[in-house]
Amino acid sequence: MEILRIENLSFTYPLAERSALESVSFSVRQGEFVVLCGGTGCGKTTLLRLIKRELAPHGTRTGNVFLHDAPMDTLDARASAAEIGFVMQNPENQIVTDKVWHELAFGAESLGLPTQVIRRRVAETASWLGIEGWFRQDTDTLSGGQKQLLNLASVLVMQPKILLLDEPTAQLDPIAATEFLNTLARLNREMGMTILLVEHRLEEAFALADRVLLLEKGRLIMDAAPHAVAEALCKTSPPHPMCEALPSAARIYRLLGAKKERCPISVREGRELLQDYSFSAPLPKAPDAALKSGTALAELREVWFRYARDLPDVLRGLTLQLYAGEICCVLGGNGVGKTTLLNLLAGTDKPYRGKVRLAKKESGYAKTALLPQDPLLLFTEDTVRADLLSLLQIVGVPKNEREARVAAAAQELHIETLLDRHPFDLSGGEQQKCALSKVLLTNPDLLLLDEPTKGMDAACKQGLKVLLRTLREKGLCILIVTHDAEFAAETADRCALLFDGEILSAAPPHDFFSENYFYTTAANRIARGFCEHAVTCEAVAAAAKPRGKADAPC
Amino acid sequence: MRAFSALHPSVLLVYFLSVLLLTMFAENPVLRGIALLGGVLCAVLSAPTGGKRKTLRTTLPFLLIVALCNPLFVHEGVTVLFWLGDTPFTLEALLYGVSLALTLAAVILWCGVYNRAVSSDKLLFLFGKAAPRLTMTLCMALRFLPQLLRQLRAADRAQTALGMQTAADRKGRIRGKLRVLSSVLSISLENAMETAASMQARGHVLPGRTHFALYRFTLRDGVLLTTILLLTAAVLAGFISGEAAYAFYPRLTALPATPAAVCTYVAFFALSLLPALLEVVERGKWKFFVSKI
Repeated sequence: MEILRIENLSFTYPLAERSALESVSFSVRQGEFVVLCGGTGCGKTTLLRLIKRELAPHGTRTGNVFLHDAPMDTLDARASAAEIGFVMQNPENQIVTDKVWHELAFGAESLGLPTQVIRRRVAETASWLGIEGWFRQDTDTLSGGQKQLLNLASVLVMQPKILLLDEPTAQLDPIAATEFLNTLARLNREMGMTILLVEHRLEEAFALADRVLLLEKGRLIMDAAPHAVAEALCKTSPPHPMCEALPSAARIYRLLGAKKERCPISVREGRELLQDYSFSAPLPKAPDAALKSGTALAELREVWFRYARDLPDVLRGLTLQLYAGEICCVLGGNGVGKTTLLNLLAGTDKPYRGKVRLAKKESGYAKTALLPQDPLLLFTEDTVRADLLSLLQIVGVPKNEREARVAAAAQELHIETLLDRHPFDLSGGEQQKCALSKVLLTNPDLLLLDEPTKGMDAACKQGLKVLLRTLREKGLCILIVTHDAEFAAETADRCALLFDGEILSAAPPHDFFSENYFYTTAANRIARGFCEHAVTCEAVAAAAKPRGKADAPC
Repeated sequence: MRAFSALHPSVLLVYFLSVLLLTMFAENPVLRGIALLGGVLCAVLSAPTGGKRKTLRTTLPFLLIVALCNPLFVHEGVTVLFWLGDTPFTLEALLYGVSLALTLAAVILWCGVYNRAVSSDKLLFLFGKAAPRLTMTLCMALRFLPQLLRQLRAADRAQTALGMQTAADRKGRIRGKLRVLSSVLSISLENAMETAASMQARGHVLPGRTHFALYRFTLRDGVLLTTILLLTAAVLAGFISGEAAYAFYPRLTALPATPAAVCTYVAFFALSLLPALLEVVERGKWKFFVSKI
């Protein structure tokens, strides 16, 4: 049975030259799990918000949205609020009240349900999702993943017919994101909930979906089963920009020439694919990047830190050396002290035992610059340009040089077109870039990045990777703390695992990840047993040779 | 104080209103002493150990000042202890000052107990039925303020790390802090837009909003509420009839000890010790259960 139908939907924002959506038509059957994907600015969010009447943006719309064959505009206000559940990207901002139980009850209160009914609905939703444990807590005490689960739960209390989710895992760490997607899969499987998910983390979403819709520049260019979409994307030439966002298995399939019948989209199917290939012996080990320069640019030696006298230690005897001209990634779970490590290097926190040493330079010590997780915290002015100029004024650059410095910085990061916009109007990736250019204006020797890939799509990550490489060539040392194993494997010279307040292992990515069993990239999990040393899709594809050829080495 | 704070919010509110008002209007030193005793007991049973010493250190000087100020500025009373220049320092005024300080101490203690027993959501619940929308706004404010403070700290930190808060002069430093404040306020407004969208999506504007809460009024709550009201009425009767009246000026009157006055004392004693009593009974029960295992 059809639950949602969209007919020739076009939409133009006021004053926009180009329409955001152009005659989009599709329908969603009852109980279907549909993933909607596309590059930044392709109109995904606009489309999703047009389906939820309360959130529909202002502008000119043609075409129509039907829910159960009734046009959206004729829907009763109460039904529209209750039957279409909407979860947004930012876990924090969607929460309205200060207590978990009250947040759960919010929607039911709006519907004017009596206390007894609310009590039962809240109770059964909380226990089905397994969140009774923090039912009476303050919403502020929850982690990002818990907050997003709460947002989902408080929508489910209203008993929606269809769930719309706008990149719900973009701000979560990979473990919380997987958990969230699994909850969605469970809802779909056990409750028959119809789900329309906008997502850029396609590694897992593809395997869950019944159908994938691909938007490009406001047009729906593909509407098919995930395998078919992945295969079609792999076979287009020149390569479609969305190829980078595909699951690792599909990317390996594409790099191997997309020859087989069915495109793999999960780790399991990827491993099946590799059975038909033989692999060359491990590549000769690259010279250890860490050992190339003798003296460290920055050094933490036996550092102990805690936030207050009576709180537990966050770092316990952490030792780490950082060298000029390297990119070092520190990985680790939530709350293991990754951000604390950056604060210590930036000098905003001081260890109570141990030393943080920065190398001596011609003018004083090596300079550090920290880009916090939320880049917005750095902006203070109304335009990016004014913001960069005010920083230069504060750090004491002569007035006549400032404009030129800003122009040079903008050119380096390709943000010339963004300079006259308000920092808040930029997309997440653009904000990150502008904040990075601001941080770089202080001429740091050591650049500290806190989760720079959070909320970025695949294309944006590629851009960041290239940018960090050029900075490294200039002799900067870059320390990144991240959850993103894929990004670390592709970008870093050295990866380290922070656990229980200590750095456990620091090694080049191919050693680091191939020695790990769980904490590794999807590509490495696919290649395990075939070629252990490959940790990126490119490396796996480069090592694979079709079986049956006489010259295959092993 | 788990046994007491688990009562229905309306019972708690009536109790604290009654104890605080009676304490403030009682002139009789016996009643004031009882209020102080009850306050101390409750505070001991409810407060975390670390907080008590600090509270004592900050309030004790203040209480001393109150006790000494009264005889310095009030010259009523007939028993002159000594003359300061040509103004008399009387025994009655001194004792009144001491008694006032003790009352203040009791009120401070009771307010502390109130704060721990009646959290903001309980108070909101009591007004939620009458004004669901106003209550909702208050709830949001309760969440918004701590969030704003956290953001302020984070932004200040981020900009300090970038070297933007290193101005040497005071003017520069103030300008730096203002810059952080204005940027965080705009971030908060931006975030509030999203919160508003999330409320909108969950039908906030629909008419006929109800208010949900976790609290149920049980028989036990009813019994305790009745007890509290009866005891309060007994104490009030003592006040109004003048049986428990006491005067400091012009001369200290004798402490009333008629049967009616004693009844008033007993009623107020029972009232102020009610939370401590509930707590002790509950703890005793636990001890008993444990010993049975």
